[in-house]
Amino acid sequence: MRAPVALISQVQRSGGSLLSQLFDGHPAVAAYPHELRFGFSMADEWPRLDPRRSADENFRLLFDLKLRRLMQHGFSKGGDTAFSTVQGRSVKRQAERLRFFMVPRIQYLVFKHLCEADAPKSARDVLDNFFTAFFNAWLDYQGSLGNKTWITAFAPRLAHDEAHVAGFFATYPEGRLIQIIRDPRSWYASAKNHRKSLLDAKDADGLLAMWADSARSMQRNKSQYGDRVIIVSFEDLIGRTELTMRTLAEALAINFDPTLLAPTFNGVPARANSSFTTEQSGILMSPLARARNLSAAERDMIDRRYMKLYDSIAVEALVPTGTASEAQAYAHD
Amino acid sequence: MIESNRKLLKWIRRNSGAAASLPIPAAARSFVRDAVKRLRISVHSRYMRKALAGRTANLDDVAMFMASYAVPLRAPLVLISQVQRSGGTLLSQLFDAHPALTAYPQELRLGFPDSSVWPRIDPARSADENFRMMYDPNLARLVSRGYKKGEANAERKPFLIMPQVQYRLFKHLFDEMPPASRRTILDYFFTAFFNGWLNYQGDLTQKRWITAFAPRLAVDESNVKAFFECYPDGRLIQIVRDPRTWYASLKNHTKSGAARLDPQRAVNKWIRSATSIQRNKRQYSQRVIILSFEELVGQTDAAMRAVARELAIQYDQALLEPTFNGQTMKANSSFPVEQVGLIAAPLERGGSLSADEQQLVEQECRSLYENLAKQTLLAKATEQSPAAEPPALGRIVDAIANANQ
Repeated sequence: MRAPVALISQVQRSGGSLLSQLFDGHPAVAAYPHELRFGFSMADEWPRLDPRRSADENFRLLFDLKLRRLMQHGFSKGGDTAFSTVQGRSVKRQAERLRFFMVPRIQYLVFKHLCEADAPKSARDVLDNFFTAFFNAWLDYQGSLGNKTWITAFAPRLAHDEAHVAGFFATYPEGRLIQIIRDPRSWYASAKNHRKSLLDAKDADGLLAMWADSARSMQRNKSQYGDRVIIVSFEDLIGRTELTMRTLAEALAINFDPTLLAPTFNGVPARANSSFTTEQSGILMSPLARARNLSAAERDMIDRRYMKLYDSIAVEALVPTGTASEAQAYAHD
Repeated sequence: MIESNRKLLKWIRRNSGAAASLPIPAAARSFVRDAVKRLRISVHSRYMRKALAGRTANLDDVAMFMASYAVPLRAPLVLISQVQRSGGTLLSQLFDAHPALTAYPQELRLGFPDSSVWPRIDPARSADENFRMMYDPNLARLVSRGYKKGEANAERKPFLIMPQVQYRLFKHLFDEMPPASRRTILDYFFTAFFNGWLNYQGDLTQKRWITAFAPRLAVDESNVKAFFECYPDGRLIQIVRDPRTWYASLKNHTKSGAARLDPQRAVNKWIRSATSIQRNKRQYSQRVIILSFEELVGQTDAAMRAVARELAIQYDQALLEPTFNGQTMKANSSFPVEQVGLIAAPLERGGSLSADEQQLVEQECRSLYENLAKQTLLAKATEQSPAAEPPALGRIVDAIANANQ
């Protein structure tokens, strides 16, 4: 696999999992199924690969040990607990476990074989070998790897740091960085209910500072890398999925395919990764209305501090090209 | 040790918030932080070693996962069966990618040690005994070698059917809910087979039929009886091929011993198969579907639409292209094949017979063949709507004559 990476990266709770799962079924895309976390103690960082290092050393920098647990327990996005708006508290939900047979030993042996058969000359070669080994060792992978023109991967927060983005584009000059901007009001409503990630320990200021970091990184990345950075609005992704995905497909020069409209994991319909209880698969509209769960004080604070920043990025977002009547209907929503 | 260290780290992570508010001197805090970091690195390295050595996240884990989350298959079987060199492999591969069908990829060889008989499985026997009777040990070799059918397909396709996963899942199902019938044993067998086929492409929850090709099995009356006892809702598809082109293909098929048969014995094989088709149709009526090889190759679209109607599944473009696990295949021909997909050349093979051979085939098989050709799915459909096109066989013969001019 020599395809470039289209990296999805912004603060969590912004639709990164959704976009990743919308890409999953496309025949020209190999979607990395889990959050892309390179190596040990380097999550959120672009790896410092060196082709002169041994295959073993480079592999250890890239391999995500968490994947072995997915093989044992199955893939489940969103965790086993969620906030119930009916009960007003976190509740257990039915775990949906999808098979994910990615065998680390096979991945390791394929990677090692590729590096030994043709010694990598660049960090890109190392990553090509890594993804080749990953997707070939994913035994139950659905689709033909021979037809892939992009690898997509979701790495939350990685693009916040300028140096990591520089590392990404140095490795993938023809790559794309997709960043999703979400209205801070609905984002905050989702983030404060998210129990699993590091968002859990943060207060309102801490949470919104993360959102602002992410938003500012989009401004910086867009001004620095121009068309190679694609900003997508979460609200468009959910509310006008088809138009957004058609425009995104055009930007990536791949054919539009109906699979781009249904979130899947390895071809199987995936349940939304919501902080709120949901049993349904496919795209949920309810996240657009999450801001209603905020108190007046919270809304007021966000309006004052963050809406200007949000508005300035929203105008940079990919404009879904729809019919005039669709655009009008959306404007009236 | 490694497990307890992991639990300790989890506990530390969970309580780190509370610890932050305790009045601990900075030096002690730094010492603890370093110790925790070393512990994390140590636990990580050990897990990494285990994972890369295959001591964790291996086939044991796959088998354990399957025990809880395997997709049960209760679909009836569509058995394709007639004498070899009649298009059984082709039909099996045309079924391969249909979303409502799950196609057994290799010739179905149940009934070990004699694969020419329907297996004598028995709920009173142990899981182990039943499994051994149905398991095809040839499949194990295909894991390392890859799947290949026919001389034309040099490229081997990955075929990851893991006997260990298949066996453990079968045993688990058997032990969890002891089967009350032979059908349940077969349901367990196919559930274990398709779930144990790790790189299987498709959604097993959507399957309406299992299809499988077992050459010659339906020639024997008792096998067919046993099949319909297990699968009263099953279907038997039998393909009849023009004996002239059939014999030409058999003669060239060097892999099986059939190529060395004298003409009379070879022709007898065809006759036995054709006679069994007549008998089975008479006995099981609508549950037996007769197709002609000539229709299948020359009128693929019409033939497969008719088959889809018979099986009450939606017609799908996938029915027009022979595939193995979704990947395009070249024809399993006795002659050289260059292109992938369907080829029309087999319809013209009759010309390669000697005059004696032609005469023998004509004498022994002609009337039987013509009789069967009237009973094929397409011939019946044409009979019911006479205003439609001329009889399929006639049209194909005309087409070949035109092509040869």
